[in-house]
Amino acid sequence: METLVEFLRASIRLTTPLLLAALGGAYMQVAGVPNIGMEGMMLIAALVGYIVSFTTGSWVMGLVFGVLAAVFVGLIYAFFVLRLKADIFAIGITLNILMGGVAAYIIRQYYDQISMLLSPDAKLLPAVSLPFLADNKILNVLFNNYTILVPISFLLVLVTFIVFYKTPFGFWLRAAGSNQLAVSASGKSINGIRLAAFVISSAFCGLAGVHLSLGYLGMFALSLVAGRGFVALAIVLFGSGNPITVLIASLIFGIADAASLRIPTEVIPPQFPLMLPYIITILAITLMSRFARSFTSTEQK
Amino acid sequence: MKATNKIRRTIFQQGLSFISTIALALLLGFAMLWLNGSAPKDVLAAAGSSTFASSFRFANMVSRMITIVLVSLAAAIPFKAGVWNIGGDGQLAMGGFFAALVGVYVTGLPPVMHIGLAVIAGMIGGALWATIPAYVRLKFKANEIVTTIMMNYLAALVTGYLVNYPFRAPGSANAETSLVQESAVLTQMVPLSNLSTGLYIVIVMFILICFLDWKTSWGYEWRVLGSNDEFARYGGVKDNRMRFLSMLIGGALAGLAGTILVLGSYHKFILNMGGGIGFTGVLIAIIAANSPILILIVSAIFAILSNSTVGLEARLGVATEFSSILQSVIILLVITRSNIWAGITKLLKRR
Repeated sequence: METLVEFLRASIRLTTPLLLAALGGAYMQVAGVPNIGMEGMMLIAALVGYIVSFTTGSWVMGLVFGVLAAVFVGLIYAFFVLRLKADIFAIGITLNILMGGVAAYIIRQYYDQISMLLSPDAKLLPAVSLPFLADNKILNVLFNNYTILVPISFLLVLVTFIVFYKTPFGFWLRAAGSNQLAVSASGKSINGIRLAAFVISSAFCGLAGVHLSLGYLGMFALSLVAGRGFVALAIVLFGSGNPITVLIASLIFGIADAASLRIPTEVIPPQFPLMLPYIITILAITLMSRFARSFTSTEQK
Repeated sequence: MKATNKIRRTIFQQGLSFISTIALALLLGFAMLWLNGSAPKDVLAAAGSSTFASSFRFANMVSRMITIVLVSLAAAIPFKAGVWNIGGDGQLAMGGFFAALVGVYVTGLPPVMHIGLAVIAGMIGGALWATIPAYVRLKFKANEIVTTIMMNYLAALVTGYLVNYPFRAPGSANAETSLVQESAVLTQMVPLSNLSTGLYIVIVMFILICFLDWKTSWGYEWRVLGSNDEFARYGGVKDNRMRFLSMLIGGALAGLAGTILVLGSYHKFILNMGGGIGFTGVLIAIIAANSPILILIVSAIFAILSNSTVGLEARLGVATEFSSILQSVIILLVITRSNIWAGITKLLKRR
């Protein structure tokens, strides 16, 4: 029982970065502009958040500047795609590589590190608890003492659902993706709506990145994101950006991630469990593509 | 006659804007370094000497360039047919590993046959790794951007397991195989450099790809598929089969890149020896508009750039990671070059 609860707890912690990024990806997906740059946005937010945290000694500053860094990348992305009409896939992939280069350059040039940053001065995200659950042992382990972005990420599912389906903004957002003619006819600017989607989406990825460095690991590493941006993209594609499907898919991947880290390495070599999330992504996207409205990138060109 | 002149002029204009955009990006790079405290004069000297000061350094640049050319073609061929292959890194790793297996464990063959066998094994290894994303894309419409990237991570883990456990070189502290047999080694062309006679294999392969692209129906069908698949299907192109084929060829080319690294440069398989070069290939394919000739030019520029940063680090203390930043900037500018030049002409006219 105890190990099961521990395992579920680990799953929830690992769900958060995927959930945050995928929810962000959903905003752009429903607006008809798939976010291919999530990997890079997460990485740069993780780095900037960590650096600001240990230079200012404040996790709030780290969180704010991490998110701002990701939004900055999102604005560059939007500028190239919306203003210069460049291919969204090409720019997204380029930005991912650019951010990888920028992150590697910064830690090498300014901190003389090759692959990671670890500072004792870093203030990590605080943990939060609901005191009335503390009495029950199992509930306490399962629901308490998470770093602050974990409960927030689950709250944001609800927020995103309301925004998408209960607000005018969500209506226009979805219209920009599915019925552009109607949007232009009503005098709204598609680019304006999509710009908002870029900003929100990158901010969510920023939260995901900061959670990885300041919440989950407590350090920064170049391999920290490890494809999560693309796993998040897969999650978004499953449900065509529906926040509830995103939540379910993120939980499945969170469980796979947790399982991959908890299979004892004495039994099998460590590489095999680590393959799990990637194999599940391929399997899932293969099976789901049969049902979901899949976007086929290159046929649009 | 007039029409050909016009075509010639557009090609010339395209080429000019392409080259001048790259020049602009390089100037931007100089400016970035200048702000960082390195005078352009020193930068130029350090960068130039790290590629052109000796035949050894030049050879290393060429060696880097052939890897980049291969991974760029690996992305460009599927691109032509309208499929993304971002799995160059994984295909390179698997190809390199297959080649290393043949190189290490097959014995008693004369060099030509041994090398030939290893090259074929390497290309098959790369193609096999491309089969999975190609299959699920064409059968189930599974997004290949996601699957090829997942395959990269999987390849790193699979080869990581293989060279850490069953095929680890006895007594080695690193994750690598034993050295390949002498008969499988591609001869060094310049002493101590990474450049081997693999260069000739790449030249032959490059000509073959150009021929395929320009002179055969495959090349034509890919181009039609990539530009207008509705029309292609109507015209009788077996679209799925051609796309599948393009992915396999892409995988084989990336596998060849890994093979030449193994047989020519390192003489063994080393974990993560590609160092993410596959992504660079995707970017080059994008900006070269899948043209083999442009790929050659851009690969040379990128190889010189990444070589130069070694000199910059040694002399001026600029981290080598700077080159990947500059490469991405070049790509962003080239993708949007028509807007950039339109903007600049507008600015000039306003004066």
